Formats: sequence, structure tokens, C-alpha cells
Amino acid sequence: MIDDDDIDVAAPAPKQRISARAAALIGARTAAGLIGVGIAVVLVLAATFLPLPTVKAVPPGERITPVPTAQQLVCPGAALRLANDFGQRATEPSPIGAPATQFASSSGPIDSRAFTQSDASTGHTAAAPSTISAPPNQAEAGKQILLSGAQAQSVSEAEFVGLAAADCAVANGDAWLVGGSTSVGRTTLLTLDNPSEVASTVTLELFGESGPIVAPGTSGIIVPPNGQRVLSLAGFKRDVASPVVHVMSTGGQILANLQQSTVRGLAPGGFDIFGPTTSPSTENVIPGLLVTDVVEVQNLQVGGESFNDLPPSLRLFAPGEGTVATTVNVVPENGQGTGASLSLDVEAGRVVDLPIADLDTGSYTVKVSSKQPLVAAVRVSSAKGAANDFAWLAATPDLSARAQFTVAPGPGPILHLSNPGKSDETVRLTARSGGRMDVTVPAGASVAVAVTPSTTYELTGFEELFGAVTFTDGNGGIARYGLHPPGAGSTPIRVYS
Amino acid sequence: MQPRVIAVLVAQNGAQYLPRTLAALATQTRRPDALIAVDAGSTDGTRELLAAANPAELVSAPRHKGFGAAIARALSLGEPHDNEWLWLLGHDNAPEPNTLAALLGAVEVAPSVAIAGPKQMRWDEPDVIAGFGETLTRFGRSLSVIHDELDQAQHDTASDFLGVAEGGMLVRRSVFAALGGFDRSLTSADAALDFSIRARLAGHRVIGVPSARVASVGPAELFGRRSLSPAAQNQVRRFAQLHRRLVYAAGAAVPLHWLGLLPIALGRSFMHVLTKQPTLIAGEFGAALGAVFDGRVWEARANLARTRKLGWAAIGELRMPGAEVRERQAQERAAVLHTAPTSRVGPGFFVGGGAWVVLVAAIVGFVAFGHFSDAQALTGGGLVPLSSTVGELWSHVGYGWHDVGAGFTGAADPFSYVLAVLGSLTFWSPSTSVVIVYLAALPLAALGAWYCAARFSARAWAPAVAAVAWTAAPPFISALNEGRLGVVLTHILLPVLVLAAVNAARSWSMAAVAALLFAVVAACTPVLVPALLLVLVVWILARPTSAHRLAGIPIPAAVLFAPLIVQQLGRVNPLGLIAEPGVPVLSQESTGWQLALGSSDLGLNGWSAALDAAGAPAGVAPVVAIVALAPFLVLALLALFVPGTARSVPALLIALLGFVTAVIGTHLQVTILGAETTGVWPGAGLSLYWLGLTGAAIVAVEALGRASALPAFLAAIGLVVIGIPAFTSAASGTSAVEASNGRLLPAFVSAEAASRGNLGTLQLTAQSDGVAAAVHRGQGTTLDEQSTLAATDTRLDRADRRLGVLAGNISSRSGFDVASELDALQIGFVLVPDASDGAVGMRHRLVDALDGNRSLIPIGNTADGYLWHYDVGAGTPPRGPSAIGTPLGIGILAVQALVVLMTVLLAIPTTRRARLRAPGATRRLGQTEAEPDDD
Repeated sequence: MIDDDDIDVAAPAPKQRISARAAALIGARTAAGLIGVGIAVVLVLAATFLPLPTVKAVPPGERITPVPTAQQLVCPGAALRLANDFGQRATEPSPIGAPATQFASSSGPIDSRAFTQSDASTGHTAAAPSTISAPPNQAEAGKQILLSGAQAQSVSEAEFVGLAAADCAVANGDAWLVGGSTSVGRTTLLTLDNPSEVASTVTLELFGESGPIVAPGTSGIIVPPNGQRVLSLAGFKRDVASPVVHVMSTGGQILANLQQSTVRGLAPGGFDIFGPTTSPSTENVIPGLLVTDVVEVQNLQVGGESFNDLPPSLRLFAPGEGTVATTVNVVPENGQGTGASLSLDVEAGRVVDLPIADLDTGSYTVKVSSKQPLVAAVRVSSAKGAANDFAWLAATPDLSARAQFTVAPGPGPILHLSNPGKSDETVRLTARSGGRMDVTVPAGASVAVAVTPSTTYELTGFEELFGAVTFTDGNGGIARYGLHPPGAGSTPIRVYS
Repeated sequence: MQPRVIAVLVAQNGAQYLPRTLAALATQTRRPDALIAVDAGSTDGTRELLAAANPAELVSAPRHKGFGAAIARALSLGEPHDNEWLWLLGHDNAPEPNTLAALLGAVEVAPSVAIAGPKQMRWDEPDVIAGFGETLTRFGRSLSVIHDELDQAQHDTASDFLGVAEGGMLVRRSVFAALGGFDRSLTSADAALDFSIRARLAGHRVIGVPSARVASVGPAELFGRRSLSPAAQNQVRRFAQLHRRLVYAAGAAVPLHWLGLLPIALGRSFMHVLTKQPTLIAGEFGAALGAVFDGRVWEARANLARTRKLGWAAIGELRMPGAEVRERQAQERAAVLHTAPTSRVGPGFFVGGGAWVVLVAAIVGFVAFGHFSDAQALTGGGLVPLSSTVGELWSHVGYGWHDVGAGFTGAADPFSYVLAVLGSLTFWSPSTSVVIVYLAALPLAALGAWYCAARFSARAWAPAVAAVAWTAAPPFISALNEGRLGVVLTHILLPVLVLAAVNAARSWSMAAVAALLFAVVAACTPVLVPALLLVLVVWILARPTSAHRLAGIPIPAAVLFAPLIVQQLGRVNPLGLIAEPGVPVLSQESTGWQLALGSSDLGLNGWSAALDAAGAPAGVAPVVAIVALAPFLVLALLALFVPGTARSVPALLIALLGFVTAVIGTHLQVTILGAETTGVWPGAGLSLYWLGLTGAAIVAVEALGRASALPAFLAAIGLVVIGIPAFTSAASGTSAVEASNGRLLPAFVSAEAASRGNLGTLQLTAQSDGVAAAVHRGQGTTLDEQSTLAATDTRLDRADRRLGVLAGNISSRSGFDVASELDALQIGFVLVPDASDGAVGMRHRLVDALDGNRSLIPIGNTADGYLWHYDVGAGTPPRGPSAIGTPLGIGILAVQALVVLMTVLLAIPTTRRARLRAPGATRRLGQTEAEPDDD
């Protein structure tokens, strides 16, 4: 190593030697410096651009299959309206008829019990929501029980005309309802069904096209055990075209549903019952968008502004703040026709209704991808002459490996299956009543299959699918519900400990 | 009758001294009547020299049997005469011409005198007394009566001594024979003294003759050796003392003395550590063991009993009184201090601006972290509160059961020791110590950096620039803002470690300080250990003569890490050793060029976010960061081009090692958080990187002189500028760290756990594809409870699996008997903290399942997440023995405590000591000198 001491030592030497030596020193230092700078540059570049291998520990986790337990689902019950048959008592809900409900389980016996109390005074009746439960299968203790049920109701009473179908679903503590409207002529009822033995305390968060809705009465809503509460969204705020409701409960868990009815002037504009969409997610899949007849809908639209909610429309809401870059793909089923694709920035905190224009008659799957989690649902209408109806299509969770669904006792049921994967899926549909069929869903595509009403099917032999069932009565009526994985909350779970 | 004198000249490899000695013998005014030369196994030209002197006899004696044995060998040859005297000489004992005459003169006038000794003068300084007369303290330690004094005839009246040295001793042959000669066990030290004492006890007198002078190169221990380490000298002298003690003691007391040998050796070893002479310890035990197995004690006791005529009281007056012993020790200490080398002239702390920099750092530190000043504890980022009592704090160290995750038996991180010591400083509230660290971090860093830089520079403001660079170092501020306590401590201590390690080359005390600091730095940031060891190895190679001190620096760290190393190797997970201790925190990987700019996390030390918020385009932040740091980085690299390469190259090598450590660390994702893994936070490596850069920049500032004013000023300004967003974030309280009330779990849990310390809280954290389960016991898992063994474990043990089954079922709608398992594990609460965006759905499932569980009573949303209560019955959770519950745990604690205690004792500054060296061994002849070597 070179040190300045060297110069001092050499100081008394003849002048010529100093300069020679000093020159050598300077040269050596310059060389050392250049080498050092070179090393530094090379090192930084290497650290930046070289793909260095990464040692990654494998987190120790184990897939735990929960011990099977009784499965329980809640069926939403009858269509409701405010005011009774005589148009009186305008703040009190009352039922319109009763739905036809169908259910089945892989373990055999099912216990079905109507709710004991309801704001709509349907307690203990067939119009009340009902709890269906299947006890653990003692013979096959380790095997997961498949339980499913669904209900359909065709309403035609005064201004309430339409087809509504819903599946029996799992009560939970946190649900997002995307759909409904409190604009003129639109009535949206929120039903909160508590199937448990303890009271539930519910808090609602409401959002509209202009942001969060602050209203009295959104918190501390007590839902009695085995009871149903019915609330009108208009009671919180009127003239919200695009509400989104976040239902959070503590204590007993809740199944929340929305029921929307539309009246244009005096003409009925349809009726629907629909359940929660999936939790906020960066990937939302909405299978089963059925456009029955574009021409019929367009014919009705000349009726004026109040018919503006007839074309298919996508409702998006991102909780939180900022803007969320979002891509929407509408993919036609069975590979026919053209879809649509668009990108937009969704402002978080405000609900956006996005018309999906120019869809031909046919069926579609809507996929919403976003940078941040959001909730999504699609509204679609169907018309036949003056008669028209609509349905809200919530995003559905993915099914994996094994699932079961019940086709409600409704008209013209069609099963829609969407395969998000990169390889074709062949799924076997086995009817509980006997009979089976194999359906192949090509990679990244969707298919529609006609199914039998009032039948429960088991789906096996696939990896990942999304599904929905649609109903059309050929007279403008339309209804749809999504397929849900079995035993939500009792699928195997990976535990890191 | 004229006395007859036989000179016995014993030589052992004394060729360089013999010519002068033989010549001096030849020029005696009273020539000895006969010369017996003894060659004690010399390997140089000694034998030839002796033969050339024409001795009456030239005998060979065995090597290493000592002076006494050589004399005995010589005397066995001739027949004794009446009034015959032996004049014992070593090869270096060149007498002055009148020496023998003076000795004989003294003994002739006093018939009771059996032994007379001359003054021993230094070989090359004939006017300095090397030694004159020997005596004992009351405890039996031998010492010279007079030594190392300029001879100004001030001792010429002294005559009666307890003993005299063998070199130049004149002894009556009949007495020598009657007493049985020198003790065979005492081969060098104390042999003559012991012989003199026996002569006195036999009724003879021992006198010193001031007018007789012989030369001497050193004490008896050095005879025949070129040099003698303090350790060896101590062993020889100590053994001699123990041997004499066993010989002199009353018969009944011998077993007592014998039993005390090893315990006393242990006690004296502690003293040696305290007085910075750890090398003496081996000799201490060597001497004690030698005495334990000393078979010649009985022979010597019998010899003494046979010849003794007087009681021990007879020699009592000749011992040195205690007061005098203490005074002499005090004088020796004073003399050493006086000769201590004057300290190097460097810039003064107050004159050189160091005080200003530290003051400004203190003010900035207060502005940034002052809002913590009334906090009980800090939390957020990598920080959680410490245990609430000192007792709990110390219960988390060592090898035993740890309530982390599902709980496990294993070694605690050495970082737990650091936290335990730190927390004990504020024993009334351990977490307060972390608050104090935050408040004092900046001025402490400035102070350490200033003193370290001042050690290497002569210019006043170079250390000030170093202090600014070190205090504003981006990895340091990031560590403070993210609550990486280990990196904060490392950053504060690194310059002090450098200072200690540099001084360790010359001082045991500093080596011990360096060892302690190394252990703390290693415990705080294990990832730095490879780089630091490499630097240490280079430093040892550069200072091979100090290798013994420098090589010991990693020992305390090695001992503290040993149990962890064994366990991690047992798991075949050696990389787990470098995991950052403390609460595992996910860190975003910074890219190579961002690391080079000192940015330990993405975002260029906060400039990206700050400029983003101000609406500047994305490309501006890198430009700002590069421009701000350019003067400093250029200055550091410039150091290679200017004089001072011997410092700049090592400094930049340190920087290189730090950078490489930072880069590699980010690629070693060994720490596991639920379903995620994270690499080692690059801040620690960057701290080392910054140390090297700062060192190099100082070299450039030094070399450039006045020309460096502007670049140094720009560098300092740039360093301050780069830290602005981070400081602002700290001052405005938007950093991850925030004041805490010391609670780790919701207040409801704390209240319940206050009366039930074992009560468990099951924490279920939703992951994107599952759930991470962990159990907190009592008040929660504190910072000192965290374990890298748990955080790097890639396997599931039985407790993990059991917890997994519970967690999997409780997170599901399940028929599992959750209640009895909660009872068995004594879990009274279930906590579900907020989840990341990707895990919201999974969290809903958890909340749904827990809400749907009839055994659990929902308590609601707390600051820490959703909480459920389970009314758990009384019981005890399964747990293993504590650190002091097994012999292994106790043993590990004891060894670690012993090593640390020894190091601390060694680190406490005490006295300086000299190494004994035979003159001429390396330098000129005839000089006993001390190296300024403070062992």
C-alpha cells in the first residue's frame, strides 16, 4: 500500500529521485483510484441488473380439513312489498305469495324450518325465510356434506310483475350487496335474515354515486334470533340511482338480500331478489349475463328516460381512496358473437354504473380486473312486448373440485359455466335424482347448458370454474343466481403455525 | 587460616555474556582458588568458552534442572575442606575487580555469617542496582529489597537480609552441604531466597555486601532464557511461592493449604482478568496444579526440619512490613503511569467542533423524536414493547421454553441479552429504555462518529464532517423510522467498535471492549458478522504481533451464538443465523442502485413519496437523491486518488463488504411471516457501507487540506438534504413507529391476563391462501421474547401441528371440539388482526367462523383487530422447562455469563505492565527493559 509517509522519507534525496518517485506514486494512486471506481461501478451495475438468485424459505404450513359439521343455508323467502294488499300501511312490508323452494344434500335428510318472526309478519309461514340444515353424516364422518337449495317465484300482482330466483346461501358476518335503486319508481328492500339462536347487531355502510351515504339508523340494527328484518333503502336516502350496501354483523350471522321492484308510471318494470356479491377483490367474475332479445329491449327504450335502466349495466364500487385502474371484459359464451372490452379508472368511494352497450342477443361472462379490490354486479333486462323484467347478477366465488347446486323450480333454467384456467375442463354433472352428463368448458371460455328445474346436481371432476343459473319464462321474465362452493367456511384451509 | 574460595560458574547458553564474565574473574584482586565451570546443557559456544578459561573442573549438568542442581553437580566432584567458601556465579554475573575481596572481607569479620551476597548491577548500566537483597512479605511472596535504583551509595549501610540472590553469592561450603543445597523443586525463582531462609533458621546470618558488585541481566527465572513472558514468569514465581508455602507451613496446616490451592488460583484468575493479564490465568493454574502434585514437598519439609534450629519468629523482623509493600506497589504504579506514552495529538472535542455537531444532532433528534419523550413504550414497524419487569426480561434469555408462535424449547437470540441489559438500565419500566435510545440516538451516533474519526485525522473539522455523515446516514434514519432497534444500536456502536478494535492491537482492555461491542453488534445485526469477521481477519494480518489480542474479539459473540448455531445447524438451516432478530417485518426489496444511494427501502429515503405528493414526475426523485449524495460519494472515491491509500483502501473495502452484505441479505429470504417470507433488511449492511464511505471521505478531506472545504461542505449539506423527508416523517409522527402505552394486546386481554399470566390469546392472521396462527401468553409476545429460531423455522413440530388443527378448525365451520382444546391450551381469547388487501376474503371467513362459534363470545372490534373471548377453565398450558429448569440450560447460562463477565472484567481499565526481556535478546546487550505494552 502506498502512503504519504514514503514521500517524507524520500525528502532528503536528490531532486531528480523525488520527482521520479513522486510520479510513480501519483501513477500508482491514479491506477488504484481508477480500479476502485471501476469496481464500484461494476458492483452497483451488477447489483442492479444481474438476476441474483434468491434463497426463499418455505413457510411451514399444513392444509387442515375441518371436522365436518352440520351444514346450514338460509333461503330468502317470499317477495315482499311495502304496504299491504290494500295499499295501506305504506311503511310496513308484507309478502306477495310464497316462493317454490327446492333443496337436497349428499347426506340425505334435511331439516327445513321457517323463521319464527319477520318484519313482514311471515313468521312460521311458507312465505318466511327458511333455514335448511343437513346434520353431519355419521356413516361417512370424514366426508364433506354437500347441501344446496334454491327458490323461484314468479310474481304478477298489480305493479309487481317479474321472475325472481335465488339460491339458499350461507349467513355470514360481512356481505356486500351491489344493486338496487331508490330513484323514482324503484323500490329496494334490504332483508336481513338471522338464522342463529342469538340476536345479531348489524351495521350498514351505504354508498351511492356521489359517495358514502350518511344516514341515521344504519348502525345498531338488531335482528332477533330466527328473525328477519326488512328495511327500505329509501328510508336511508331517496333518489340514489346506484346504491351499494355493506352489511356487517356481530353476534349471530346474517344473510342479507336485496329485493328491487321497478314501476314506470303505472307499468310494472320487473322484480328481483338477489344476494351478496363476493368480497372486494381484484378479480370479479360474473357468469350468466343473458341478453334475451336486444330488439325487444331497444323497442321499449323509446319510452323515455325512465327506461334508461333497461340496457345491461355494470355497477362497480371500490372501497377506500384514490382511483382504481380497472379493466372490464365481456366474453361471449359458447364462443359466439362479439363481446366488449374497456378500461377505466374507478374513483374509490363512489359507485359507478357503467352501461355495457352494443351487446348482441346471447349470453356472456363479465370479468373485472382491477389494481385494487372492488365489488361488482351487472343488471340486465329482458322484454317481451310491453312486459319486461330485470335481474341483478352478483359476482360469484370460484368453485373448486367439487360443488353442488340446485336448480330452482323456475322456467327455462340454463347453467352457465366459465373456465378461468388455461386448460379445458370437463365437468361431470350428476343429478341427485339420477342421470349425468359431461360438459367440456374450453380454457378461458364459457358454456351454457340447459338443465332440469327442481333438480340438484353435483359437479365433479374439475379444477376451477365459475357458475350461474338463469331462468327465462319466454314472456319477458328473467332471473339468475350464482353458484357457490359447498360448505363455505368449511373448506380445507392452510394454516401457518 | 586463609579461607579457600571455589568459584562455581554456571553457564547455560551464555556465550554472549561469558567473555566479559571470564575476563572479570581473571582480573579479581583476590582470585578464587579454584574455578569449577558448569555447562548446563548449552547449545551455543558456551562450552568452548568455558574450556578456554582453563577451569579446574568443567562439568556438564542437565539442562532445566536449575542453578542449584548445576552447583550440586559440580560440588559432588571435589572433597570439602575447612573454611572453604563457594562463590556462585551465573554466566552473566561479571564481578567488579574487588568483589570477591569485599565479600571475603565481610565474612571474615563476622563468623556467624554463612552467606554473603553482592549488589547485582544491571549488565549494561553498571550504576543501576538490578537487585540487592531478597525478602518475603507477610504472606510469603518474595520480592527484592532494593531493585532498579540508581546506585548513589544510598544503600551502602544495608547489610542483614532475609536472603540474597544466587548470582555472586558467597556461601560457606559446610553450611551449603549441611543445608542440602538448593531445594530441588525450586529451579530458579526463590531458590536462593529459600536457601538463605533455611540458613537463617539454622542459626546463620545472611548479609549483603554493598561494596561487592556483580552484573546481572535479570532475575533467576530469566537465567538461560532469551526472554520470558509475564505469564511464564508468573507461573514460575507462583509455583515457587506455593511450594515454599507447603514447605514452610506448620504440619497441621498443610492439608488446608493444599485444599486451598485451586480455589485460590480461581480467585487470582479473576484478579488477573481485572488487571488485564488474562494470559496469566493458564500459568496460575499451571502453578497451582504443579503444587497440588508437588511430590518433593515432604522431602523439602524433612530437610527443613532436620536443619532448623530457630523458630520462624527469628526471621519475622526481616520480612517486609505490609505498609512498605503497599507503598512500593503504589510507587510502581505511579512510575508506570509516568512513563505511559503521551496520547496522540488530535483535534479537541470542544475546540474541534465536535461539541457543536453533537449539540445540533441532539436538537435535531429532539425535534424528530421529542414527541416520544413522554411515551411509556414505542410500537410499530419492528418495535413492540419490552417485558414489563426486569425479571420477565431476564427470563427470556438462555436455552429454554419460549412462548413464541406455538411455543418451543430452544435458544433465545443473543439480541434478548442486549434487550435485557438495555431494559435493566431503566429497571422501573424496561420499555422506557427504547424511548431513551430514540431520544439519544442522534447525538450518540454523532459522538461516536466524531471520536472515531478524530482517531484517524488531525484536522479539526474532518471529524465534524464524519459526525454529520454518520448521524444523517439514510440507513440509520430509516432504521429509526421503521423501528429496527437492532440496526439503530449497531449504527450507534459501529464507530466505537472500530475505535476499540483499532486500539485493541495494543491493549487488552480495548480488546475486551471491542469483544463486547462486537458481541452486541453481532447480536443486533447477525447479518454483519461475516463482513466484520473478514475485516477482523484482515486487521489481524496487518498486525500479526497483536494477533493474540485481536483473535479474541469474536469470542463472547461466539459463545452467545453457540446454542443458536448448534440448533440452526441441527435444522440444516444455517442461513437462519443471519435472520434479523426482533419482530419479523416484511421489507420491500430495494434495487442495487437504490442501495448504493443508501436507500434501504424502495423510495429513495422518502424522496419518491415526498416528490410524488408534491406532484413532481417520477424521474425527479432519483435525480434529487443522486445530486444530493454526489459530493459525499465523490469525496469517498476521491480518497483513492490522494495520499492516504493505507486508510482509504481499507475504508472502501469495508464499504464494499457492507454493500455486498446489503445486496445479498435482500436475497436471503429466511424470515417467515405467515405465508410470506422476507429477506434480511439491507439497513444493517448499508450502515457498514456508510461507515466505509465516511472513513474514505475523511481520508480525502484530510489529504486535500484547505481545498476540501467546499466539497466537504457540499457533502455535509447533501447528506442533510437527503435526510429531510425521513426526518420530516419522524417529526410529524407519520413514520411506522409511534408512542404506545406498553400494551401488546387489547385492553380487555391485558386486564384478564394481569391476573392469569398464562392465559393465551390465539392470534389468527388471514393470509392470501390461509391463516397464520400464533399464541400469545399473558400480556403478549414482547420484543425480547421474539426468536429467530421461531421466525426461520420451516418445519412443523408437534405443538405447531396441534395449534394448526385448532386454528384450521376454529377458522372454519367445523364439528371440532374447539372448547376442550381451548381449555387444554389455556387459550382465553381469539384475535383476528386486520388483513392485507389480498387476504380480506380469508379474514371474512375467519370472522364468520368465529362469530358462528357458540363457544366464543364476541367482544368486538379493538385497535388490534376483532376479539372473541372464551371462558377458559383453570389449568396450565403445556410448556417446557425454563432456561434455568434444565442442567443444559443452566450450563449454557453459566458459560455465557462467565465469558461475558471475564470480558467485562478485562475491559475495565486498570494498570499497565511490562514484559520482561533479556537484554541483547533482541536489542543491545545488557538492558532490562519494558516494552510499552500494557498487558
